[in-house]
Amino acid sequence: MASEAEQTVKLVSSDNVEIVTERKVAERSMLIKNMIEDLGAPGEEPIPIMNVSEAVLRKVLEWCTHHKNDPAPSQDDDADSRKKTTDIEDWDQKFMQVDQEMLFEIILAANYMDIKALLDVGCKTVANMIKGKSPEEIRKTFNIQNDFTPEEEDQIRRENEWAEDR
Amino acid sequence: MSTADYISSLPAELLEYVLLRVDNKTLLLSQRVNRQFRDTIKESVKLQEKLFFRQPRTGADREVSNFRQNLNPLLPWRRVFVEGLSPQPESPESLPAAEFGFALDVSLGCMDEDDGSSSDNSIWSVNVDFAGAKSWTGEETWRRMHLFQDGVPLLAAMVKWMGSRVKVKQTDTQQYMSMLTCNLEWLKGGPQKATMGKVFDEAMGLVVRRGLRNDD
Repeated sequence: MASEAEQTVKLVSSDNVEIVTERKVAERSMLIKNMIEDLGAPGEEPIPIMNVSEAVLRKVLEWCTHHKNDPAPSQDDDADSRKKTTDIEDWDQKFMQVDQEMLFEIILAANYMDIKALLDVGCKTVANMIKGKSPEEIRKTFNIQNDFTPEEEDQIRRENEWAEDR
Repeated sequence: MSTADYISSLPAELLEYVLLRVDNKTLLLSQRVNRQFRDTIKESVKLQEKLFFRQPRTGADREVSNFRQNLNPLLPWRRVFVEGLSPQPESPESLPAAEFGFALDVSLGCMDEDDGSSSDNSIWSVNVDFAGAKSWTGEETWRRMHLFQDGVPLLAAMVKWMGSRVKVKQTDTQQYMSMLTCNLEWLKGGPQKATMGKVFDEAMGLVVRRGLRNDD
């Protein structure tokens, strides 16, 4: 039997494409890690990643490959939620230079596959696109429809007008 | 570039995750983007805490020594003095000008440990310009905001009410200040409980009761 470092696993995307990857890479995903532990015989049974298409899965695995030797995430991640920074390391920043469709697909996949660090990078990227923007600019950036009635929007504007020119 | 709205595909907990990383001013104003933003912000306990609309459930897991982080960044804080262990008189030019309208000066004496010198006392104060008070509707969100998160190592707190619509001489201003600082009723519930609106209403009531306000 191959040593754990050389083991490979077969993943199957939502559009039924089989992707073989290193076990260590795939186990950046807690979903896959738990499935492998449950299955017992890695490499034999293909693992279905039901909500993620081939293109997104390959992109996610690219991130996992780069980060395969990162230390395990700390458990107290929520404890310092108040000190959240939006600093992103260079490689991740380049990795996230994709169109918005892919960016949000990556975030949803990272959430589904339970890859905390990738979810974090994705959400920071979106946060950086929001920071410092007016509501109008945020709508424009993300093609968001304003679904308020004029009265509702006016109400919210009045409540928060005091903070606008700070 | 596609014209679809992908952010709407995010479930509330992921939009919350994103918004927790956005600065407070943008976050507050972003409630006007659409219903998804408004409802996510309104219904998220963490985002309500971030915006100082509610105090955190527990303060134990937070670092309290850095009180600067615990001050509501949307209120116009200024540091009055940083040296010495006992309060020093403020220089007159640091006080808001009376003819400017109304200004509320809330001073908090705090232990300053964030630069490693735990013996340093410093006073931070928040000056709110109430020149526009008459046109306010009472719905402004600053009224519901706390001045700081529980966990500020507070030594003392006082409220001063400055100025009126009539011009007052510096000596008169000093007199008003000394009268008003005696009344710290808002502190009885604990300063951590006080919202900016409560502080404002207390100070306003005091001004009216003492006939200091010159309504025109």
